[in-house]
Amino acid sequence: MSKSRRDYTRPKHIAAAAGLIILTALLQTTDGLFPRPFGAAAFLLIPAAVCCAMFENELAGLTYGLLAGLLWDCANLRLNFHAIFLCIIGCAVSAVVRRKMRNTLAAAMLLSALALFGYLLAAWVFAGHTAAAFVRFTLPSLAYSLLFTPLYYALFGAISKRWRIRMAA
Amino acid sequence: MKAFLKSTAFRVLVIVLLLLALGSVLAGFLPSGSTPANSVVSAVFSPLQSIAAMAAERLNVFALSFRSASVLAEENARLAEENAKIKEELVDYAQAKEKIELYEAFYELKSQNDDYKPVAAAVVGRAPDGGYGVFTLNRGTAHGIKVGCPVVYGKNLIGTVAACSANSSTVNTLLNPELNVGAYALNSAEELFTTTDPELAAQGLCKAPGLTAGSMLAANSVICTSGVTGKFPRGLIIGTVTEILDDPTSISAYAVIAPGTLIAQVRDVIIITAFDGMEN
Repeated sequence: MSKSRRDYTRPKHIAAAAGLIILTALLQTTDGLFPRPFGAAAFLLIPAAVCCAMFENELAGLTYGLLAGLLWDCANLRLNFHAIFLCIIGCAVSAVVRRKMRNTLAAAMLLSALALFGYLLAAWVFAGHTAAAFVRFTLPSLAYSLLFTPLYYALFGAISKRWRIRMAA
Repeated sequence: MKAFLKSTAFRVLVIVLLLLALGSVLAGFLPSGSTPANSVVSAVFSPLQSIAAMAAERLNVFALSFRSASVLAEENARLAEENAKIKEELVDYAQAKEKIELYEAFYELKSQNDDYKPVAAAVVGRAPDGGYGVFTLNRGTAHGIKVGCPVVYGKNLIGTVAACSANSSTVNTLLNPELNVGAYALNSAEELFTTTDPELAAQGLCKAPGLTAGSMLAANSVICTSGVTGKFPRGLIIGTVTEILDDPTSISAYAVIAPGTLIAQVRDVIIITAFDGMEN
């Protein structure tokens, strides 16, 4: 594998991954663009950041998490809260997958579920919502968002695989 | 774990987190009310969001047309096409009607208050978890918007601009417990203020706390802005009292208020960039 070949494919990899995150941010934050069955919201940027980080090193996972978080922060008042949260998630997921876990769909589901639960629990606690809101909104939203993890895992996996195969050729 | 803590990635993470935290603190001192990173990202992202909002509207039209066409195509292809076209026009008509109603109501308000400087804006984004009704508009500092400008729908107050960048701004609504509005009751001229709490906000309601035994407030009383703080002009409708309840935390009572507009469904709004007595 030559260095020039690697450098040639890397921008495409970055553009594809960043493009997918921007598209996800648009789907999540644009009013009326993504369906909300029974009032549950899809927090797509969390599984997207998790799955993206699983195929990247810690530094890249952190950067994609930062991008996702800043885009999310554009849609509300939580000053850099999401950027901080997704930065940590991106870096931590990448570190865990590289050192402690195998990169599988089951691991992606587990890590996404943990990240979603952590975020939604914090949002529920800080917003001071009732227990009923936890059952009616938080849990359905967690399940709904988690549904998209296999899709993001496949998409980021495909992005990673496509350019790695070329690099090895 | 030790290897990770000693890695470059961990050091970069700590630096990035410190910078983000610093940005959050800086936002409190900047006139835009948003962090520097957010201002840069939103300058690029808000045009994309506007395009996505237009696409969302188009998708709604397409879904409507497709559903009708699929039923009618079995009977008559020509009728299906005609029907779909009429439905598209109907959606356009409904949207135009909604906008005209908004402008008519605001024109009436403007004709009574020459000092208002209005800017029309469309809602292009919302916090997915509701976020106390927080939403994003497609107008920013480039259109004369600044932090603190009141946001209305017709004569109804919706909230205030909390943060803005060049081409977008974020609105803090009446459903946010942090927003207090000086108010008075139209029937009794009683001075009060409105706020909300998480439970009422989840139901789309606000409240006027601290009512004494001598309060004349009753169900159906209309509550308007008093304008005493200089943050809102006088006379904007906040909402209507639905009931008076005893406050469990004090000896006073509070009035539950239904806002004049369904904040979660509003699509177009007017931002008042200037009015007589506006706080600088």
